[in-house]
Amino acid sequence: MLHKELKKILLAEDDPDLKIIIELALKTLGNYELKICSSGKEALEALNEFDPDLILTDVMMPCVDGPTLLKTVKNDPKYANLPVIFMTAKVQYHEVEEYLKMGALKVIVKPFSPVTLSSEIKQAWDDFQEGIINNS
Amino acid sequence: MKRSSIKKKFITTFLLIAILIFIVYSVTFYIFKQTLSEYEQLIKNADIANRIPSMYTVLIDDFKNYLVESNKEYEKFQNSITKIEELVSYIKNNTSSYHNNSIAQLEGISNQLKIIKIKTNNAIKYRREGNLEKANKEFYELSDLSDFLRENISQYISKELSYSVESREQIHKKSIILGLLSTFLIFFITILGLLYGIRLSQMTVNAILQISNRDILDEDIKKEYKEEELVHLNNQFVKLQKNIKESIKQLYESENRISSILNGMYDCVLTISENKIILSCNYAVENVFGYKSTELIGKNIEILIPDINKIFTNNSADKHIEFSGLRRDSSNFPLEIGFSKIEQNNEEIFILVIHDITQHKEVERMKSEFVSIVSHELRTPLTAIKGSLELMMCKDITELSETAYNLTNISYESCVRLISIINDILDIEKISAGKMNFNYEVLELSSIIKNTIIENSSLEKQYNIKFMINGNLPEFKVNVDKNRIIQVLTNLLSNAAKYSPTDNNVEITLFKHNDYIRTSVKNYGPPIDEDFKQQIFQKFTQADSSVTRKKGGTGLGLSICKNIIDCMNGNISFESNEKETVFYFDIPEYKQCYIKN
Repeated sequence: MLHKELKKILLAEDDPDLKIIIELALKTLGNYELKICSSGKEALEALNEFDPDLILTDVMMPCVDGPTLLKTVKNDPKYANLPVIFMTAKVQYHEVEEYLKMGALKVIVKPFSPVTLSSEIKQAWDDFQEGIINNS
Repeated sequence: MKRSSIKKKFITTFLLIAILIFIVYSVTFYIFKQTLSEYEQLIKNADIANRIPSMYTVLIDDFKNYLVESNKEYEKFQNSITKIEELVSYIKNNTSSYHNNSIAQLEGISNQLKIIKIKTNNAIKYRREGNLEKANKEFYELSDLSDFLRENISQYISKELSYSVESREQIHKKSIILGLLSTFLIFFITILGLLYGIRLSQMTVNAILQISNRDILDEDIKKEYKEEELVHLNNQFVKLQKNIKESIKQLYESENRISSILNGMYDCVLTISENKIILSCNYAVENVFGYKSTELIGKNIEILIPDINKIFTNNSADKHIEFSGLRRDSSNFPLEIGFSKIEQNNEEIFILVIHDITQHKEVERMKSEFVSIVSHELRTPLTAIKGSLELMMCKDITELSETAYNLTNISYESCVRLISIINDILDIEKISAGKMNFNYEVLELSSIIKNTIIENSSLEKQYNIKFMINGNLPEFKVNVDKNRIIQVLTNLLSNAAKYSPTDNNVEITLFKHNDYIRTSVKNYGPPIDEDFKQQIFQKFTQADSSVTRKKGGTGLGLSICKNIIDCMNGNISFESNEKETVFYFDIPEYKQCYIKN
């Protein structure tokens, strides 16, 4: 079974500055197709239409936060296997552990390097794909 | 002034009585003995006198034989006379001078004996001359004289015997009188001594009673006692009483002060018995538990602290233990107990100082939250700043002039430093709150080291040094938190890189040291200052504050490393000399049976 290539990333981030930086990092440097949403709610609304390969989401957001977004996505049978990567400034060990337990593919700790962000996500994606192949 | 003690007085009195009794007895005995010896002498004299007539009869017979048979034992004959004379003289000498009649009688006897001697000599003389007639005449006169002699002696004896009867009666009388007198005297002296003793003890008792009943400032009482020792005793009592009153006053003041302090305290101070019954408590219980202090006396401490038994089973050296308190309104709150025990009347009494830590906990929680929020809030804009700067320096995004690039790089480096400071502060906060979590797993240490060196390879370029692994890293298993080990090693590598001379190696070695696995990082930089060695693992310390700017860092790194390694039951230390500086940490080697708490 061949690796599925990562193309479409759905970003949920409420900080406008970070949105710009991540856009530059993933769109310009990583050549990914990126849909930028300002909240979890917006991301959920865009989910069906955009049909992403991966969701990159901030943890703390108004209304629907990262964990809620993850739960909702995982509860939807259509997207149950959709990988979700968290970005957070809450870096305490138990917090990171908690997010991984929830089903997050990876936790990217803020501040991250935009230059290496795309490769970091790519690595996580590749590992994820590897896991799928091995399991099947 | 010489003071005689009561004891001395008692002894003197006793001795005096004893001496007086001895004198009375001695005098009585002497008088009695003298009378007795007089009586004995009388009897002896009479006895001797009684022997004289028979001796004389023998003498006359001898003399007669001499005259008739011309017996030549003349000397024996004369000796008998001399002996009789000596006996008479002895009696005379031993007869009391006041027995005049007897003495006169004896003198008569002596004179008669002299005449007898003369007559005897004459008779002997005539006998020798052969004139028997004259000799016989002398002899007959001698016989007549012997009758007188006998009569005189018997008279003397009868007189002396009458004296002896008198003397015996006197002895009888004297013995009765002296006996009575001495008995009376002894009785009298004893009574006198007894009375004096009673008087002395009464005076002492009175003095003590009066002193104890009267006011201490009443000086007149002293005048009643002329006895020096009583005055002295009185003074001592006054002093003693004064001291006791002063001590009681001080004790009262001190107790007042202590109870004011106790009642003014925010913390509850309770004493409980061995069976957990409250013996005393201060007013603070009202604020802390909602009970009045008087209500709690005699109650079991468990109504305030249900899990109090923990305190008796706690074996740790730390006597401050955290408990859950129960208020009157059934609400719970956290408290800390300072615990000690004392022994009173062979019973153990426990002293509990109960400190309500509700606020402290709240502050701790707020502090933790504050640090968490601040660090989070700082991280978000820092992410934007760092990200922007990094992208600005990325040639795929923008093209900067050299100056702009350099300035951007300075901003970027400062930003990285700021993030590192925030991370360190977060770690320190976690350590001080005891909330640093460890995710232990059994790992192979050499692979962690290799990966960490690779992750930190940017330092090689930055400081122009080279990380070099000494030999092949042996494989050792350890039970550690991987990320924390990486954190420690990163710190040591970063420090070594900072202080290493350029174009030099920083050497990493892994080897077994006793039961531990030692990871050491060596650089050939300048030695660590002697003064600084003592505080190298303390918070916010750097060899030189100017280093902070030159080399970066907060001075928290080694303090965090030490805490991490300590938590993993390891040990971190260093050796530094002119040639090289080695930092190392030891981690216990993992064994199958090794159980991590």
